[in-house]
Amino acid sequence: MSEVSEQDVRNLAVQHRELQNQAESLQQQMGMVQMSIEDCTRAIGTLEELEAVSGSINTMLPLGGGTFVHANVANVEKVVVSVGAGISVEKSPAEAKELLNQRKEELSKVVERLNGSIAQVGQRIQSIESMAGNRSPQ
Amino acid sequence: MSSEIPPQVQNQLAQLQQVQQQAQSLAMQKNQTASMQKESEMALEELEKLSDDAVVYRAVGDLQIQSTKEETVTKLKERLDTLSLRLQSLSRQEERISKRFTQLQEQLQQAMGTQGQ
Repeated sequence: MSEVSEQDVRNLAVQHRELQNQAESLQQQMGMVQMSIEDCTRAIGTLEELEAVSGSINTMLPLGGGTFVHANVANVEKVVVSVGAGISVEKSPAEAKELLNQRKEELSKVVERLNGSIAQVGQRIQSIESMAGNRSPQ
Repeated sequence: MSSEIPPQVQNQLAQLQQVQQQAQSLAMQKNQTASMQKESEMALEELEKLSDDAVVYRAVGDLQIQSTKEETVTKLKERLDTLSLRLQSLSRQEERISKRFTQLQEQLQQAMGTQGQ
Protein backbone atom coordinates (compact mmCIF):
# COMPACT_ATOMS: atom_id res chain seq x y z
CA MET A 1 0.00 0.00 0.00
CA SER A 2 2.84 2.38 0.79
CA GLU A 3 3.91 1.91 -2.84
CA VAL A 4 1.18 4.31 -3.95
CA SER A 5 2.98 7.16 -5.62
CA GLU A 6 2.21 10.87 -5.48
CA GLN A 7 0.93 10.69 -9.05
CA ASP A 8 -1.46 7.86 -8.16
CA VAL A 9 -2.83 9.86 -5.27
CA ARG A 10 -3.40 12.83 -7.53
CA ASN A 11 -5.16 10.64 -10.10
CA LEU A 12 -7.35 9.14 -7.39
CA ALA A 13 -8.26 12.59 -6.12
CA VAL A 14 -9.30 13.66 -9.64
CA GLN A 15 -11.33 10.47 -10.06
CA HIS A 16 -12.94 11.03 -6.68
CA ARG A 17 -14.01 14.55 -7.64
CA GLU A 18 -15.38 13.39 -10.98
CA LEU A 19 -17.35 10.59 -9.36
CA GLN A 20 -18.77 13.00 -6.82
CA ASN A 21 -19.92 15.31 -9.62
CA GLN A 22 -21.44 12.33 -11.35
CA ALA A 23 -23.26 11.28 -8.18
CA GLU A 24 -24.59 14.81 -7.74
CA SER A 25 -25.89 14.95 -11.29
CA LEU A 26 -27.53 11.54 -10.89
CA GLN A 27 -29.22 12.72 -7.69
CA GLN A 28 -30.50 15.78 -9.52
CA GLN A 29 -31.90 13.62 -12.30
CA MET A 30 -33.51 11.40 -9.68
CA GLY A 31 -35.15 14.43 -8.06
CA MET A 32 -36.56 15.54 -11.40
CA VAL A 33 -37.91 12.08 -12.24
CA GLN A 34 -39.50 11.78 -8.81
CA MET A 35 -41.12 15.18 -9.26
CA SER A 36 -42.57 14.00 -12.58
CA ILE A 37 -43.96 10.89 -10.88
CA GLU A 38 -45.61 13.04 -8.19
CA ASP A 39 -46.99 15.30 -10.91
CA CYS A 40 -48.56 12.27 -12.64
CA THR A 41 -49.99 11.00 -9.35
CA ARG A 42 -51.56 14.40 -8.66
CA ALA A 43 -53.06 14.55 -12.15
CA ILE A 44 -54.46 11.02 -11.77
CA GLY A 45 -56.06 12.06 -8.47
CA THR A 46 -57.68 15.08 -10.13
CA LEU A 47 -58.94 12.96 -13.04
CA GLU A 48 -60.49 10.51 -10.57
CA GLU A 49 -62.30 13.39 -8.89
CA LEU A 50 -63.52 14.59 -12.29
CA GLU A 51 -64.90 11.16 -13.11
CA ALA A 52 -67.13 11.39 -10.05
CA VAL A 53 -68.61 14.68 -11.26
CA SER A 54 -71.37 14.95 -13.84
CA GLY A 55 -72.13 18.13 -15.75
CA SER A 56 -70.20 21.34 -15.18
CA ILE A 57 -67.97 22.37 -12.29
CA ASN A 58 -67.50 25.73 -10.65
CA THR A 59 -63.83 26.20 -10.07
CA MET A 60 -61.07 28.81 -10.01
CA LEU A 61 -58.40 29.44 -12.60
CA PRO A 62 -54.95 30.36 -11.26
CA LEU A 63 -53.61 33.68 -12.61
CA GLY A 64 -50.34 33.36 -10.70
CA GLY A 65 -49.21 35.08 -7.53
CA GLY A 66 -51.92 33.26 -5.58
CA THR A 67 -54.66 35.07 -7.52
CA PHE A 68 -57.62 33.28 -9.05
CA VAL A 69 -60.55 34.04 -11.29
CA HIS A 70 -63.85 32.16 -11.10
CA ALA A 71 -64.34 29.70 -13.92
CA ASN A 72 -66.86 27.21 -15.06
CA VAL A 73 -65.60 23.94 -16.52
CA ALA A 74 -68.24 23.22 -19.14
CA ASN A 75 -67.03 19.82 -20.21
CA VAL A 76 -65.42 17.20 -18.00
CA GLU A 77 -65.87 14.38 -20.51
CA LYS A 78 -62.78 15.41 -22.47
CA VAL A 79 -59.35 16.39 -21.20
CA VAL A 80 -56.21 17.31 -23.14
CA VAL A 81 -52.99 15.41 -22.42
CA SER A 82 -49.53 16.31 -23.63
CA VAL A 83 -47.72 13.49 -25.46
CA GLY A 84 -44.44 15.36 -25.86
CA ALA A 85 -42.82 17.30 -28.71
CA GLY A 86 -45.36 20.12 -28.18
CA ILE A 87 -48.29 17.92 -29.10
CA SER A 88 -51.39 17.43 -26.97
CA VAL A 89 -54.24 15.03 -27.54
CA GLU A 90 -57.88 15.12 -26.49
CA LYS A 91 -58.85 12.07 -24.43
CA SER A 92 -61.51 10.87 -22.05
CA PRO A 93 -60.50 11.09 -18.37
CA ALA A 94 -60.20 7.27 -18.25
CA GLU A 95 -57.86 7.20 -21.29
CA ALA A 96 -55.85 10.06 -19.83
CA LYS A 97 -55.51 8.16 -16.57
CA GLU A 98 -54.26 5.09 -18.43
CA LEU A 99 -51.66 7.17 -20.25
CA LEU A 100 -50.49 8.79 -17.03
CA ASN A 101 -50.25 5.40 -15.31
CA GLN A 102 -48.11 4.09 -18.18
CA ARG A 103 -45.93 7.18 -17.88
CA LYS A 104 -45.57 6.58 -14.15
CA GLU A 105 -44.48 2.99 -14.77
CA GLU A 106 -41.84 4.10 -17.26
CA LEU A 107 -40.61 6.75 -14.84
CA SER A 108 -40.41 4.14 -12.06
CA LYS A 109 -38.14 2.08 -14.30
CA VAL A 110 -35.95 5.15 -14.75
CA VAL A 111 -35.83 5.53 -10.96
CA GLU A 112 -34.63 1.92 -10.65
CA ARG A 113 -31.93 2.47 -13.28
CA LEU A 114 -30.81 5.69 -11.60
CA ASN A 115 -30.73 3.96 -8.21
CA GLY A 116 -28.45 1.30 -9.72
CA SER A 117 -26.12 3.94 -11.18
CA ILE A 118 -26.06 5.92 -7.93
CA ALA A 119 -25.16 2.75 -5.98
CA GLN A 120 -22.38 1.93 -8.46
CA VAL A 121 -20.89 5.42 -8.28
CA GLY A 122 -21.18 5.32 -4.49
CA GLN A 123 -19.25 2.05 -4.36
CA ARG A 124 -16.48 3.45 -6.53
CA ILE A 125 -16.27 6.55 -4.32
CA GLN A 126 -16.06 4.34 -1.23
CA SER A 127 -13.36 2.15 -2.71
CA ILE A 128 -11.26 5.22 -3.51
CA GLU A 129 -11.84 6.55 -0.01
CA SER A 130 -10.81 3.26 1.60
CA MET A 131 -7.69 3.15 -0.61
CA ALA A 132 -6.80 6.66 0.53
CA GLY A 133 -7.60 5.72 4.13
CA ASN A 134 -5.28 2.68 4.02
CA ARG A 135 -2.39 4.79 2.89
CA SER A 136 -0.31 5.59 5.94
CA PRO A 137 0.19 9.30 6.52
CA GLN A 138 3.71 10.40 5.71
CA MET B 1 6.33 26.71 -14.26
CA SER B 2 4.65 27.91 -17.46
CA SER B 3 7.74 29.92 -18.42
CA GLU B 4 9.57 26.59 -18.87
CA ILE B 5 7.09 25.41 -21.50
CA PRO B 6 8.15 26.48 -25.00
CA PRO B 7 5.65 28.75 -26.80
CA GLN B 8 5.03 26.15 -29.49
CA VAL B 9 3.93 23.57 -26.92
CA GLN B 10 1.84 26.17 -25.10
CA ASN B 11 0.12 26.91 -28.37
CA GLN B 12 -0.56 23.23 -29.02
CA LEU B 13 -1.87 22.82 -25.49
CA ALA B 14 -4.27 25.72 -25.99
CA GLN B 15 -5.44 24.19 -29.27
CA LEU B 16 -5.96 20.84 -27.58
CA GLN B 17 -8.10 22.47 -24.89
CA GLN B 18 -10.11 24.29 -27.52
CA VAL B 19 -10.70 21.08 -29.46
CA GLN B 20 -11.73 19.35 -26.24
CA GLN B 21 -14.28 22.10 -25.54
CA GLN B 22 -15.61 21.78 -29.07
CA ALA B 23 -15.96 18.03 -28.61
CA GLN B 24 -17.85 18.54 -25.35
CA SER B 25 -20.21 21.06 -26.91
CA LEU B 26 -20.80 18.71 -29.86
CA ALA B 27 -21.54 15.82 -27.53
CA MET B 28 -24.05 18.00 -25.69
CA GLN B 29 -25.77 19.06 -28.92
CA LYS B 30 -25.88 15.45 -30.03
CA ASN B 31 -27.48 14.38 -26.74
CA GLN B 32 -30.07 17.13 -26.99
CA THR B 33 -30.91 16.28 -30.59
CA ALA B 34 -31.12 12.57 -29.78
CA SER B 35 -33.50 13.22 -26.90
CA MET B 36 -35.64 15.49 -29.10
CA GLN B 37 -35.73 12.68 -31.65
CA LYS B 38 -36.78 10.19 -28.99
CA GLU B 39 -39.50 12.55 -27.76
CA SER B 40 -40.87 13.05 -31.28
CA GLU B 41 -40.82 9.29 -31.90
CA MET B 42 -42.80 8.69 -28.72
CA ALA B 43 -45.30 11.43 -29.62
CA LEU B 44 -45.70 9.90 -33.07
CA GLU B 45 -46.25 6.47 -31.55
CA GLU B 46 -48.96 7.93 -29.31
CA LEU B 47 -50.60 9.71 -32.26
CA GLU B 48 -50.68 6.56 -34.39
CA LYS B 49 -52.84 4.90 -31.74
CA LEU B 50 -55.58 7.56 -32.16
CA SER B 51 -58.57 7.38 -34.44
CA ASP B 52 -58.36 9.53 -37.59
CA ASP B 53 -60.89 12.07 -36.31
CA ALA B 54 -59.10 12.61 -32.99
CA VAL B 55 -58.69 16.19 -31.76
CA VAL B 56 -55.02 17.11 -31.57
CA TYR B 57 -53.36 20.33 -30.42
CA ARG B 58 -49.98 21.59 -31.49
CA ALA B 59 -47.98 24.07 -29.43
CA VAL B 60 -47.09 27.18 -31.42
CA GLY B 61 -45.15 29.38 -29.04
CA ASP B 62 -47.38 29.82 -25.99
CA LEU B 63 -50.51 28.88 -27.88
CA GLN B 64 -52.11 25.49 -28.43
CA ILE B 65 -53.53 25.34 -31.93
CA GLN B 66 -56.14 22.74 -32.78
CA SER B 67 -55.07 20.45 -35.58
CA THR B 68 -55.86 17.10 -37.11
CA LYS B 69 -54.10 13.80 -36.61
CA GLU B 70 -53.03 13.70 -40.27
CA GLU B 71 -51.49 17.16 -40.29
CA THR B 72 -49.69 16.59 -36.99
CA VAL B 73 -48.31 13.22 -38.09
CA THR B 74 -46.95 14.83 -41.30
CA LYS B 75 -45.35 17.64 -39.33
CA LEU B 76 -43.83 15.23 -36.82
CA LYS B 77 -42.37 13.07 -39.58
CA GLU B 78 -40.82 16.16 -41.19
CA ARG B 79 -39.37 17.09 -37.83
CA LEU B 80 -37.96 13.59 -37.37
CA ASP B 81 -36.28 13.80 -40.80
CA THR B 82 -34.69 17.14 -39.89
CA LEU B 83 -33.52 15.79 -36.54
CA SER B 84 -32.00 12.68 -38.07
CA LEU B 85 -30.12 14.81 -40.64
CA ARG B 86 -28.86 17.05 -37.87
CA LEU B 87 -27.72 13.99 -35.89
CA GLN B 88 -25.81 12.69 -38.91
CA SER B 89 -24.07 15.99 -39.42
CA LEU B 90 -23.21 16.21 -35.72
CA SER B 91 -21.74 12.70 -35.80
CA ARG B 92 -19.56 13.63 -38.78
CA GLN B 93 -18.36 16.76 -36.99
CA GLU B 94 -17.67 14.68 -33.88
CA GLU B 95 -15.55 12.26 -35.90
CA ARG B 96 -13.53 15.10 -37.41
CA ILE B 97 -12.99 16.72 -34.02
CA SER B 98 -11.95 13.45 -32.42
CA LYS B 99 -9.37 12.87 -35.19
CA ARG B 100 -8.05 16.40 -34.70
CA PHE B 101 -7.83 15.73 -30.96
CA THR B 102 -5.79 12.53 -31.40
CA GLN B 103 -3.54 14.30 -33.90
CA LEU B 104 -2.88 17.20 -31.54
CA GLN B 105 -2.36 14.82 -28.63
CA GLU B 106 0.29 12.89 -30.57
CA GLN B 107 2.02 16.08 -31.63
CA LEU B 108 2.04 17.29 -28.07
CA GLN B 109 3.40 13.99 -26.73
CA GLN B 110 6.17 14.10 -29.32
CA ALA B 111 7.03 17.68 -28.42
CA MET B 112 7.09 16.85 -24.71
CA GLY B 113 9.17 13.73 -25.42
CA THR B 114 11.83 15.59 -27.35
CA GLN B 115 11.84 18.30 -24.73
CA GLY B 116 12.33 15.79 -21.94
CA GLN B 117 15.43 14.28 -23.52
